[in-house]
Amino acid sequence: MSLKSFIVTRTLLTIPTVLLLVTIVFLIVRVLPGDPALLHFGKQVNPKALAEVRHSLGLDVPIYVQYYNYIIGLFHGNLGIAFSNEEPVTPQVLSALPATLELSIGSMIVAVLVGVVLGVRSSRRYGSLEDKIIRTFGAIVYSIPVFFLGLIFIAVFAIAFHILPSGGRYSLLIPTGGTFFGVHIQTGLYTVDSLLAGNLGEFVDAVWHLILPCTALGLYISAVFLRITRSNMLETLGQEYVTAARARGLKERTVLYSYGLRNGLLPVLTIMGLEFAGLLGGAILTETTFAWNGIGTYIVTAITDRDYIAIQGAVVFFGILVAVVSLVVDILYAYLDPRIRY
Amino acid sequence: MTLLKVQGLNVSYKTMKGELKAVQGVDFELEQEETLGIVGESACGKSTLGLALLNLVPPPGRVTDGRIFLEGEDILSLDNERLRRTRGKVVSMIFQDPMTSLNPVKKIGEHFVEAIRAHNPRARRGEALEKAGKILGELGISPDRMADYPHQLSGGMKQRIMIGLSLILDPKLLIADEPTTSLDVVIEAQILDLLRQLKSSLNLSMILITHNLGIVAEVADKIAIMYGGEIYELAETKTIFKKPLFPYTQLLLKLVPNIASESTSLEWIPGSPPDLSYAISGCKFAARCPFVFDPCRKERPSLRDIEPGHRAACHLYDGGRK
Amino acid sequence: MKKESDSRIRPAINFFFTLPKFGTGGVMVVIGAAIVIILVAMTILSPFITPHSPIQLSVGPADAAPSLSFPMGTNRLGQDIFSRMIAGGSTMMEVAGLAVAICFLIGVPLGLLAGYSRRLIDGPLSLLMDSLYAFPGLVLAIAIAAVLGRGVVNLAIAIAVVYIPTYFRVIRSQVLTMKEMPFVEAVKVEGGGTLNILFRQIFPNVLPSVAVIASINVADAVITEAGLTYIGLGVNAALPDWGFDIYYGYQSLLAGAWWTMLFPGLMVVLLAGGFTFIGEGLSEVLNPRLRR
Repeated sequence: MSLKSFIVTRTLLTIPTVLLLVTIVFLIVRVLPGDPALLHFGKQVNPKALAEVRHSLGLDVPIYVQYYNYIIGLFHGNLGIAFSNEEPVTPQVLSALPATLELSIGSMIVAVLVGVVLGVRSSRRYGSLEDKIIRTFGAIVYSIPVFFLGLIFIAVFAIAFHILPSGGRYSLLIPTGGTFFGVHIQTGLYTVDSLLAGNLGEFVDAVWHLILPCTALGLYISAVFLRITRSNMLETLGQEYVTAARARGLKERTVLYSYGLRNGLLPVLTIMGLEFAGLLGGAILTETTFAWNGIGTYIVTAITDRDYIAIQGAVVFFGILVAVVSLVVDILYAYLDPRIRY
Repeated sequence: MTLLKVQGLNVSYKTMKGELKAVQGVDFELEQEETLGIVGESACGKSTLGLALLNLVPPPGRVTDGRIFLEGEDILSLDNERLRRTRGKVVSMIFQDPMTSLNPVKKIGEHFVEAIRAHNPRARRGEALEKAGKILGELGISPDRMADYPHQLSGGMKQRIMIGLSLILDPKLLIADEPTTSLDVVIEAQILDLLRQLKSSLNLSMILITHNLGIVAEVADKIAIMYGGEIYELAETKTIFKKPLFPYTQLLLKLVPNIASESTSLEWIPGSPPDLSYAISGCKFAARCPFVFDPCRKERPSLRDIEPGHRAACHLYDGGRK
Repeated sequence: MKKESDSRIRPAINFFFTLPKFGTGGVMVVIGAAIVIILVAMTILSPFITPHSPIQLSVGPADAAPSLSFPMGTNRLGQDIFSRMIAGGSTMMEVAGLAVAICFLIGVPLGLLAGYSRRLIDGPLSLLMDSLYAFPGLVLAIAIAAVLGRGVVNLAIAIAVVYIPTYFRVIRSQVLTMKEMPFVEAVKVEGGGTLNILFRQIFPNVLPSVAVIASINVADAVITEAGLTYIGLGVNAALPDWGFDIYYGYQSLLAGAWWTMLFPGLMVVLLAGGFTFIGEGLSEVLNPRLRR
């Protein structure tokens, strides 16, 4: 099968998955607890006011009509109207997105760097003390809740040593972005925006604030990368074609990179896609710990407010985001490994 | 000058059970254009021996003792860079399973270019591909195949490509570790034919590692019988078949089913190969030998000339001819 | 009577002593199991061994640093942290244990079923599980927990739903491989029915993997429960709970009282770590990396 037909097939397969996902969320939020509106407002609310709100939010029609409206709304990018401020959810989520994205990308970079480097190192010294230490490190890090790790970082670096900020995304001014070929761009990603504006001070400030949360979240995710890289490298380097390559007199470095890493790292790509989902989950906890105004904080606030529509909207958004990332990763993997295109 | 001289080679693996001595005290020589067949059953250490000849024994295994003189130089003492340059150029190896010997994500042509470039970094890609195409042609593979990936080719083709890859740098010695075991009989015959042709046309020395006496009969000049990590008999092919001295060899020859014979049941050697993670005193074959007697269990027989050009390690021949 | 109990305990103890022979893996299992057993015992015995009442307020000064009378210090409400650490694991253990039980009882049979049945049953099941699996776990758990509300059972369900797909997938793929194997065919030839095959042939062979997954699962469940509690979805704010304490500790931390969040966090790490060690160790023991 060629790459093109694979892309088409895979993309089409995503649709039922997303549909199912979205339906599950709908069932969870609308059907499970009974009446989400009632739960939000509590039992003391004025029945008339409640009925009005329910009507304006489209909650007084039969379930299947609600479902239909919901799906149609999703196609238009409409994630519903939040209870707490009766504003549409979509713009709220979108405005919180850049913060989460910055955190996620930064953390993924940390995770891959730490995990892969340690994994490769560990596999090359199979059975040695260093191998055992690295693997124990991996097992321990896996057991540390990300928010606890974050708290420790804050305790050490922010409070004890005052080197890094204890939270927030910035200490100076919010970067407002810059001009690119005559068009004003403000991505919401402070690092990018400050670079676009050519403001080095803002850039450093943004990065400074990113260090602790990204390291915490990154380390938390890195354990999986470490384990997978190590076992893949061990398996790949043990393969006969590697011995055969060495028997032909190929340089050890060529063998390691061209044969070992290239084949062994392909699954890392898939893991990156899978871990992205975990990353988002961890991001929620990290954002709470570092006062980071992303989608995570949005969800937590919605939980406190019992704003079920907002929760639903944000969760759906996350789900679709993960599905898209998975798709991209799978396609990339197929491009790199000719065997996958059955 | 003797092309290859192995002296007292010992290879061990560190396992959970202890030290597994896969190869013990192996001595032999190989001249130019000679073919040596190393015959033994599974887990007798013959594959490890093959890998050791390129100093490629994988961890947790390592060479613990001995010397391997290739063209007069002990390759076990070479530094990594010189060792690497010897591999492929002076001595090369083909492996048992062609399915796993080629890198699945590289095209065939790439394998050749890479191998050539590893020894001549300035080689031009076009020239390398041409050279590869030529050798593949001689092996009966169309040069178009160079654009394919390994999984698109059959087992027989892959093995030929492996042979091509190992010969592209004109090595003097080719080690073939069970090259036909995973191929069907028809392809096996073709590959053996090929090896015979190459032997004469390229003046190639070969070490053929196998469990199949039938193969070595056709291709090898000398045969070494390996058991439990040690060589127990070494002689010219004709001699081994006509007058095997070591009891194990004699039994092996009896095992080959003969259509002309009248017996209807298959022969076998009772017992199983020794577990090399435990030290064994005396002759390793003692437990299964039909001629076993006292000294066998106490003292290890040494490999020595029983007759000119015919070495064996067996107490039966102590104190002169039997 | 004495002989009976002797003969059953001894093999079990012997089993533990043989584990280290399996190398690093065995050692890990033993260490992990020891940690878990100690923590569970501590929690069960907590009413008898806490020096102060874990829920009583103002036992000491607020946010006091660790000292001889309060080995782990006090928190903002003047409660003795040491006592709260001893007693604080019960909710977590209940929730995690229940969650794993649910996963096992639902995920394993579904996996067996899907692996063994035709596409008609397997197809939709797998699709459902794949969707769930692809979902950010914590997010789904948060959504379910937020919606169901507080309570041990609700939290357990929220966590279980997230992990069932993992059990499902692993078991399903193992069943798929196994059902083609000769030993299954042999049973079929002798007239064994489907149920027989599933439960008496395949299931025992699947158990080792299940054991590994379950251990890691408990570790994950512990951490997830801590996470859910941390963002306010916990069970009962009145009971001592490590997750809650970490949350409270955050405010005290900013004021400089680092011990309020350190100790509860360490307890969570210990418990999760113990199970992770068991899981990793088991995985190594059951899939030895043969290097030859």
